Amino acid sequence: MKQELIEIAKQEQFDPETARRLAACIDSEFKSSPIRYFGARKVIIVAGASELLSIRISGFGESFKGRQLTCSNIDNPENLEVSMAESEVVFQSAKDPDVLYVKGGETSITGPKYSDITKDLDTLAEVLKILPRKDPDIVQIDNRIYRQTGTVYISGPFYLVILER
Amino acid sequence: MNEIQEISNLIDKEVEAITFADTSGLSSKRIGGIASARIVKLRNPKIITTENKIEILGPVFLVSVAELEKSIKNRHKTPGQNIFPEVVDDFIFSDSKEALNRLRTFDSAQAASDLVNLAKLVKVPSDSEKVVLVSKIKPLELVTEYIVDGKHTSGNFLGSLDLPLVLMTDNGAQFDFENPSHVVGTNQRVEESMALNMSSIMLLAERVDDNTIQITGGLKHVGWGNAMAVVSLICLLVGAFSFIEKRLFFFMALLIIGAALAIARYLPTNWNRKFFGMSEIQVVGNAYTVFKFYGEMA
Repeated sequence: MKQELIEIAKQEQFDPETARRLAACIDSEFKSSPIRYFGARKVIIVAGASELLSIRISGFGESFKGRQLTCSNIDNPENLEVSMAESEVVFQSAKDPDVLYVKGGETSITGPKYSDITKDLDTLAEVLKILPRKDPDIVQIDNRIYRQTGTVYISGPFYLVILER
Repeated sequence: MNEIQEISNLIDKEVEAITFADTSGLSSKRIGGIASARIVKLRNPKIITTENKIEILGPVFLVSVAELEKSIKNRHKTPGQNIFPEVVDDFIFSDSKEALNRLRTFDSAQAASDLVNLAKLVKVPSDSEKVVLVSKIKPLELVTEYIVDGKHTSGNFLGSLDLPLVLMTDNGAQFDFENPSHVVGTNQRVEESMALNMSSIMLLAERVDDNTIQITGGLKHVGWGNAMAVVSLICLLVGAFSFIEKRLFFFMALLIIGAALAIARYLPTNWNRKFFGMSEIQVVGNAYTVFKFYGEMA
């Protein structure tokens, strides 16, 4: 693995920052990564020395071969999603956990499939609350008794109101 | 040939041009095809229907009536047994003044506002095949200011619209198209379903693919419930037979067991509600607006 990393780092197409990060990881330990999903603004994938990358892009009939693949989101505020769930082995550098050594299988990189415009169609409002009951529980008019009535309105030319407190 | 047919032909030609464009040249942001979307957001759109030309200022949402109905029915819930979806149907289609009364014990101001606005857009069940343009989804707000055939209208709401209709704008549009869609782009990554942010668009809404369905969910231990009901019925039947045969002990025992099971299953006690759950009406599925379009990605 170390030899492969040295050969990858020797390639000249990296920007200085990526080259520095890679050089720093060469001597560090790589451990198997339990995490297979990552979010990133930019993803650089470089082929090992022996074989080129085989790249499929959804919507394109043909597949592509290449040494280096870079995917990045610049204007889009959402991160790219990187899934290595289908990869056989994922090793993570102890020095820089964002440097991963992947073997076999398939890694997928995808942008956001859905925007937030459907959000308002799907979000629930708060459950309707039961109103506090202010109406009289029992209303007695002469001998007739009514329970849980609505608001009672009284009118008349003259009447007395007696309150009990 | 009417205007909508002319625009339809124009879109077909543009999509064909995008499909067969030389991809080796300069990168292009052109994209087009046939798409299904639940909702399309447009800014300052111009609309051509078979009868009118309408202009709206500001952002609006194009959504099918069926999708909007689903959204409102699922949006509000009443505690305990959720009666809200039934209230929506009663309020709209039965013109039932009693419908809102069913919500009178709840703090339902927001729900009532959504209901009243929805009822303005929907009159009969077949309206679910139409589309609407609304200025806000949550809470539901209708478009009340627009220009129709050059005449400024304020105060009257814009109702549901028959298909086909054309929408166009150079001020931005956004939608997520779903599978199956047939969208092509020149030098663009186009997937089976993806979010699109357009700077300009010409869109012809053709039909609504409504696969929404109203279901009753929320029930638990349905198997146990059915088993209890069946065993209870058997006990009561065999008990009745025992009574005829004058086997009083069996009659009493089976009567008690059958009645106990029936009570446990059907009496609306707290235990019953907790164990078997409360039935809840929900609308599932989506009602996609299917349209063909072309334009430039932002």
